[in-house]
Amino acid sequence: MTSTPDGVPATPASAAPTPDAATPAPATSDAATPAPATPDTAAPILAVRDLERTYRGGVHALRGVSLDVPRGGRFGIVGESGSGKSTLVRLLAALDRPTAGTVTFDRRRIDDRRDRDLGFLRRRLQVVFQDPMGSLDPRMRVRDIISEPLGRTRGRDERVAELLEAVDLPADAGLQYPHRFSGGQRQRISIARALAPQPEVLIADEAVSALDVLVRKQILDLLTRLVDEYALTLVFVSHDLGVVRKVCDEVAVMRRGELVEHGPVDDVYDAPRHDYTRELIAAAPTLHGALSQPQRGRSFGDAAPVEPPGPEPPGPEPHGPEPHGPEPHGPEPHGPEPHGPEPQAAEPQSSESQSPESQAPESPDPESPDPESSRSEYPPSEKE
Amino acid sequence: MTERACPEGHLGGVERPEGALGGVDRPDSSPDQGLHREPERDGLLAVDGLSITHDDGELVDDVSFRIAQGERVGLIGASGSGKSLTASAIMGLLPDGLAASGSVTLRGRQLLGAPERELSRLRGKDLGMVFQEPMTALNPAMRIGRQVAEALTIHGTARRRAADRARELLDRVGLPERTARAYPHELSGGQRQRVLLTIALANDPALLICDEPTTALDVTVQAQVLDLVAEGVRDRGTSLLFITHDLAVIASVCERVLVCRDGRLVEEGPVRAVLSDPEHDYTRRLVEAAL
Repeated sequence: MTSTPDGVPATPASAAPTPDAATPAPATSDAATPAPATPDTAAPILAVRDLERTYRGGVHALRGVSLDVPRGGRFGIVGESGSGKSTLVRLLAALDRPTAGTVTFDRRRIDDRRDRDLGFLRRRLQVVFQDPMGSLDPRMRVRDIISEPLGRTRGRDERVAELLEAVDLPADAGLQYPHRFSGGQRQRISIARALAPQPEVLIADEAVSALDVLVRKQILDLLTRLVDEYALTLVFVSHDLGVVRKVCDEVAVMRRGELVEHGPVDDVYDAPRHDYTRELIAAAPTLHGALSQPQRGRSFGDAAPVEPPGPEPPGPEPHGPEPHGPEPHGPEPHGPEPHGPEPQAAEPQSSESQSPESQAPESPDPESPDPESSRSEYPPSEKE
Repeated sequence: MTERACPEGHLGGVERPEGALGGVDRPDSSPDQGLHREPERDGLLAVDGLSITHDDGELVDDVSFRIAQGERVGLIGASGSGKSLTASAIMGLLPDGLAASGSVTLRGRQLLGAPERELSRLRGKDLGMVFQEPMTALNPAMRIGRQVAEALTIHGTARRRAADRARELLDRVGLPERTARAYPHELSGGQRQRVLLTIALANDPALLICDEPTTALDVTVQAQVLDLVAEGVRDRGTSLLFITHDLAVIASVCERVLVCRDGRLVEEGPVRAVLSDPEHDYTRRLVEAAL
């Protein structure tokens, strides 16, 4: 591999003193990050302070989030839908502006810059998204997709070849169009494109969530290998606790726009301090755990159905003053006469318009659908 | 094929006598509901030599398995392994252009090639189904209560009684009363999935087929829905065919597991035995990739 990040290495010296946020003050908030030794790299590559993002309609997507991503770290962000993790990603990548608070990248504020002043960030920080099909232009050949971030530089073909090799795609893949590739291969293309400008930070936003188990493992292996090989800082965002544990050394747990817990993965997973983290870890199925515990449906009542009551409009509700109230806490709603033989009346023969399931289309393929969409669109106002 | 000794699962076993449980020829009047089925923990569903073909070739190849009365069976495999197609074939919902051969019998009654009219009487009554994406399976223009009630009236419940029963059933999966008056878009993903489960179980089906029902849900919601599935089938003595790529989910819900790869079953057996000590190389890879 000749493509070591020699092109645009971290140049902490160039840290332009920005107006307000020149002093990130890393240790003020909840989560003091153990800083690695070298003085140069001691400052976090990304520092977030008191970040707020309120959408129209009063939805508080982020509420006072502060965190530091250490240089060279593998930083996980977990949370369920509506937790604000995607909003946070957009702000980390300066794809959106916060309502309040600051984001600094290598000591430079990025939250208040105009797009044209963000060139340095676009080179040094790259994002891989969940849906590889949605983020790859179907009309472009793979080689053009990959080299797009490079602009018109010499040696493009060589660089494309290197990148394809780095993500284990065949050399001739460059001539194809994205639709020819499977989900996993498309994600490899996305990764290759993200690596093209030799970034220092790679943000993976649910990057393996739409993938099949075996493919997911391959992509995770690839990601971790590349992070090592190129000494990248990885920000790994996922709803999947298991994956985060596998990949990251530090994790931040988010819920309803707030960061509820943060620390080294082993600490957080083995000794969660916050109730929500505990609940999340208890709910996340692991094969090992499932095999060593009694099966479901036996101890009904522990993991109770406490989804928020109610048809509430998906909009501005989940972040209000904490809807503690009306939860159907008693989970055993079995009526006394659950299902005796039903009186069978005459059979209406409307075979076509029968039960709603009959409209169910071809069974969904786990690779294609986009679970995130259903998540983010309807943030379930979770139980307390 | 790696086959393990397990009490009630027989791959490619012998044909069961037709109509073992009786009443199967008149599904609209079947008396065997609720807990009365308990004693016959015997072949409910028999899939024999099921193949599904497309112009380009075989997608499912000679798949055979049994599901006993009240048994919870998981079907795992990577995407494209044919597990969803197998479920579609059982329900007679194969996409156009695909043809199934072999045999699929429910209580001895042949489903493959049965007229659509007959199948649609079975679906929703003897066969309940829950899919991954609840939005597409619910009618966006109909209130939830009516959709649940419809599942009942179509299969013979009187209209007035159906409405009451619908509310009861929704309550039973922990949905508040006002859910009955809501439209699907007003519900969260987990709530919608509960509604679908309610509909699927409304007529106390003999077999519930779940195809990745929780894949799109948050973990805490997933845990709740899985509990409801397990609870729902246990209460009714309903058999379960649970399709997923998530081994942890299978391990927490099912007693027996079938491993599907490239349209073939490569291993089957009791869930703990297979997943803690897989014999087939493919199963081993799945286990290693699991978290």
